[in-house]
Order: sequence, then C-alpha cells, then structure tokens
Amino acid sequence: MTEQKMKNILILGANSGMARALARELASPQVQLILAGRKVAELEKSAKDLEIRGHGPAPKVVSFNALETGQHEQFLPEVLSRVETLDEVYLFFGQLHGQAEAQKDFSLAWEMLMTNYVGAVSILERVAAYMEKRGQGIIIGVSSVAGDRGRQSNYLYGSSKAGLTVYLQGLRNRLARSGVHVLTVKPGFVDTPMTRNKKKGLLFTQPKAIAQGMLKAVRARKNSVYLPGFWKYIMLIIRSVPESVFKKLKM
Amino acid sequence: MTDNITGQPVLPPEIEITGWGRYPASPTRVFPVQSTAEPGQILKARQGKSLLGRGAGRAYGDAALNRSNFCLDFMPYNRFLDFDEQTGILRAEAGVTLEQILETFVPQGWFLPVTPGTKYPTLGGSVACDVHGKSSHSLSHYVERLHMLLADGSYVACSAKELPDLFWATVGGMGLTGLILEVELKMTRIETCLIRYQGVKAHNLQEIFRLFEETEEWPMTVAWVDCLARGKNLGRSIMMRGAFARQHELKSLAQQSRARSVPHKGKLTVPFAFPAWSLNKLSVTAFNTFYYGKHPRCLDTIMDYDSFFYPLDSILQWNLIYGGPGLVQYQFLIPLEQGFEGVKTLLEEISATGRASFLAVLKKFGNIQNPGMISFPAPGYFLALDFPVGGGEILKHMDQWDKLVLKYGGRIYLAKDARMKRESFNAMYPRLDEWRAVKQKYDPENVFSSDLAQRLGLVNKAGG
Repeated sequence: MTEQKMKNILILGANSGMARALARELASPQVQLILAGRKVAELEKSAKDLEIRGHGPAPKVVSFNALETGQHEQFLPEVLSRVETLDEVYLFFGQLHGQAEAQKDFSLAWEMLMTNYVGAVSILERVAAYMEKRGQGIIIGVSSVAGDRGRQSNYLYGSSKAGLTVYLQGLRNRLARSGVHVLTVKPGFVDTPMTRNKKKGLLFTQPKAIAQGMLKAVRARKNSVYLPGFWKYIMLIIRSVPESVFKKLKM
Repeated sequence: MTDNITGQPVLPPEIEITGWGRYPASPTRVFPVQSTAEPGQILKARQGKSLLGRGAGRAYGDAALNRSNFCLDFMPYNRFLDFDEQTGILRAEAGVTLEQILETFVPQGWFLPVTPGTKYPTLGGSVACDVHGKSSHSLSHYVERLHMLLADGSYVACSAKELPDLFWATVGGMGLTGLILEVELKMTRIETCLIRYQGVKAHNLQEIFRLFEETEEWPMTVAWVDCLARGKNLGRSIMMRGAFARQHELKSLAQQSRARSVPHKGKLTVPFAFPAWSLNKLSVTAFNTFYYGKHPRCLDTIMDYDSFFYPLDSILQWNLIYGGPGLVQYQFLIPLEQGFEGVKTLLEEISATGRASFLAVLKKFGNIQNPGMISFPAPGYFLALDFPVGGGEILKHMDQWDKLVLKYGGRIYLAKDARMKRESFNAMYPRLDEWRAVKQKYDPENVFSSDLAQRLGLVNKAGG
C-alpha cells in the first residue's frame, strides 16, 4: 500500500461564497489548503472552520489583492516558501457591479475589468509558468455564462468574463503538451441570497452543488463546464440566435 | 453585502418572506450576512429601520419576519471557530445549522446537548427560541456564552456570569435584545450515535401520563397522540423513549459499524402545496388509526438518531402538505400539578372541534430550573398540534383554547405562534416585566423588532 500523497491546493479569492463551499468539499487530511484573499481576518476564521470540518492540517492564509498586480510577482514565491509545491490552483475572485451603476460611474466598470480580467491574467501567468516548468498541475478558473454573449443588461461584467474565458482557452492550448490541465468553469447566474426566501433552500444548496460539480469536472479532466449542467443548453440557444435578431431583444 | 467602493450596504429588494408554517407572509428587505463586519455596517446604515436576525426560518409563525423593515439572514454566516476536545465546548457563528454540527461532530463522538424535532434550524435561531425537543432541559442550559452586537453598536459577550440579565433575556428572547453573532455551546459526549428505543402503546390519557411518571430514567421521551380519538380512547398514544446506546448494547456488527456514522438517507421532497381539502378529518383519522394499529404493544430496538430525532426531516418541505394558506402549530404548556386536567380538557376541546391535526406531540418536563425570562420550557406537560390555516376559522378556535391554557396557568410557545392575542400573552409569562426592563436597558429605541414583537407588544415602551 502506498501512502497517499499530500496535495497542496491554492484558492484565490477564498472569501467568496462559492470558494467557501469548495474549500469545505476539499478539506480533508490529505489536502493542504492555502487561502488567499483581501480580508485576512475573515480567511483566518475560515481556516479554523476548515480545520475543524476537514480533520486535516490547518489551512495557510496569504494576503492577495487582484488589483495590486505589482505585488503578484512576489506572491507565488511567498506561497512556495510555505508549501513545497502547488498542485492545484482555483481562481474564484471576481467583482460584480450593476450594469446601470457601472455605466454611470466608470470607476465601477474599471474595477470589474481590472479584477476579473487583468488581475486574473496577471496571477495566472505566474502560476502557468511555475506549473509548465514543473510539468504538472491543474488550473481551475471560474468565469461566467455572462461571458458567452454580450447583453445590454450585463455586458461590462460579461466582457470581463469573456476575456477570462478566452484567456483560459489559450492557456489550455499552451499548457496541454506540458501536462498541465486548465479547466474553465462557467456558473449560471448565481441566485442572489434574496431569491432563497422565495424558493427555499435554493441559494443555500447551490454553492455546495456547484462546488461538487466543479470537483467532478476536475477529476474527469474536463476542459470547460457549465454549472449546473443545464446552462449548457440555455447558452447553446442564446449563442445561436442571429445577431440581427439578438440586438433587438431586451436581455 | 456591501459596496466595495463606498462601503455602504447595498439595499436589497423587498420580498415576501414567511416562517416554516408559510403563514403569515411579510414584505421584508433581507441582507445576507457573510463576514464579521457586515452586521455592524447594516446597523450603522439602517436609516431608521428596525433590524432582526433571521436563521433558517424554521420558527412557524412571524418570529423571523420584520414587515417593511430589515432582516439579517445569518445562514451564510456559518463557520466553526473553535472546538475544545477536553471540555466539549464548541464556538461557532450563529448561522451554523444543527445538521452541520452533527455531520462534523458525530464521527468524533459528540452530539448536540439538546435538539428540536428538526436538524435544519441554525444555532443562533435555536438559542433565540431556547429550543427543547425530547431532552430534559432546554438548549440554554448548555449555552456557555453568547457573543452579541447590541443596539448601540457595541460588541459584548454574555453568559450566566457576565451580563446575566442580557443573557437570560436573550435565550428564548426571540432575537429582540440584539444580534446573536456567535454561540459557545457545551456538546455532549456519546459512546455511539445509535439510539436504544422503546415505543410503548397507551390506550388513553391516564395510561400515557402513568408512562411519563415511570419514564423518568429515560433521558429522551415524547409521546405521539392521536388527537381525534375521543371518549374512552381520548389520549390514545405511543410513548417514544430513547437513550444513546452504549457500545456493549450493540448486538450486530452492522450496528457497530454505524456507531459513529452520520446516516445519509434518501429524502422525499413535497413538490407543491397540496389542495386544502386533502387533509381532512377522514384522511387524518385513517392515518392515525393505521399508524397506531400497526405499532406493536411494546417495541424495543436500536435505531439511528435521524429516525429517532428527525422523522419529518426525511420529507423535505413537508409544510406544503398543509395546503396553500399554510399551517399553524398550537403548542402549549400546562404546569405539572394541573397537567393531567389541563391536557385532558384541551384535548377534549380540540377533538370536539373535529379539526384534523396530523401531528400531536406530548412531552413532560420534570422539575427543571429555567432562568430564561420569556423562555418557554418550564416544569409541566406540553402538547403540540399542527393545523392547516385553511379559511382561518381555526384561529378563532385557538383564541378559545388560549383561555383554557390560561385557566390552568399555562403558556404558548412563541417559536410556534403566529396568532396569539397580546392580552393572553401578557398573562402567560410572569417574568415579562423583568424582560421588558432588560430590553429597555439594552435597546431603548427598539432597534430590534419583529412582526411577533409588534403583535405581542414586546417593543412598546409603555408595556403593551
């Protein structure tokens, strides 16, 4: 019997609801989690929670801000000073502002584009270089169905995610030969916590269901996955509407 | 949810929410709480609106509603913060559900010290209602400390020793003294998580009361009562008593293998609200007769804790079988000395109305001390019955029943209530003035309120 090797998994944007749900699914004695995000005090609490739930090693906490791209060069060496290797990296961070507000105030649009696209590319380029050199690893990027087609109701956010989707596609192509796998995850419109009260349990179960779907896709070495799965068909229809018709729709 | 640039809370839309009974409904703005700073930010920016912490929404009536004002949804605020294996003290954020606690701690040989009949409520909500269930104490007996945010924006810890007035006004205080952010709870060590169970039939009320007298040594007891049985069968029931099985009591290897495992069973979901006529006297009588008839005289067995504590949890959304308008639960307590007379009179009254109640549950609390000022559990007998709201006539009957409950010195459980009149409430809780004084001291401007508080006059300065 071979002893199961410890896996080191980095979660970027570990304070988001979806990331929290995923970390709970991952937490186990064979997994060393590294939680990265802006609010370190919150991450410390989550780390304790994951240690208690997973009966595993205490997750490590690192400060990370997607917008401070100048700091990204030092980020990976800092993580690697605390764990020997990095086997999987999940990218969850993302900024979502209302379309109407972002149209009025460009700083909101700027923040979305910088966080969701530039910030993501900045850190993943470093991760990719590390994994490519090592010849193994998995990168999981959380994009969105909003990036599949531009719509008047959310195109500022959507275009930042469209950029991320194409970036992950290219990265997958680049890293395929070096044995590094890239998975693109496109969650459907995540229900706001308010809808939970209308249809009980919806939001509460959803992050957990998405986390489980994500892990399944990782194990199956999927390239791209919609979560929940039915979004694949919704987006198939939305993408297939001719632009001459689509531009007149109120979506 | 706060805006990242301004730090101001984003105003969520007003939506209709209800409790577990789906009656009544109230339009409320619901703020999800996910991080430590959010409750304080919402308190600062409340713009004259009142606030209420809300958990899983498992209280039946209007306890977790706050019409035209704000609710803070604590469900996403659900992290374990510390567990001391020496003392068994768990510290957790208020939105942790009892189910999450069981899933994590049962495999390590720990159980909730007290659990209600469902595992879906949050810890914070359970403290605010001071839940009781089948055990011989209510939950507050095992609460070591509460961490709260008060109306003036201060963060305090309270317990039986620190700020005891705040503590005893908060356990069972229905969330009206402040926001419960974290709870420290003393867990119970168990050798196995299986239950040694005995079910004993009783032909009538005398028999079941005698069984309760004899059953003092069982740590967990409850009786299922067929409340449509009348005359000499009045109080026909099944006593269900249980204790955590010891290792040596497990006979088979199959049982031993389950001694520390969380049961995972398939669950049914009620897909939509049943038509109101589907629960009528005939169908409930048929069900009750069948259920009682098929039960052996005395059943002695080992069962998993889910089947013992949470039989209804295996049917998700069972509240929908009570039809569109929802359901109300009538749960009252009659003090020990008057127990038999009181329960008998009320059962006669209830069965005389011919109203169908699926579930009637009888329970005895022995000579416990409960220092909670408006906490429900006290020495006595409790009876809980569910009724469909239907056209609303049932509510008028309940007003009549309240008078009987009062006559026997009893009270109604606020976590289940949706309809009691203010005058009845004032007469039921003898330490209400003491509670009002604490409310006045810590929340003079009634920052914290709820539909229940408005209805019962708990937020009126003049004292109702």
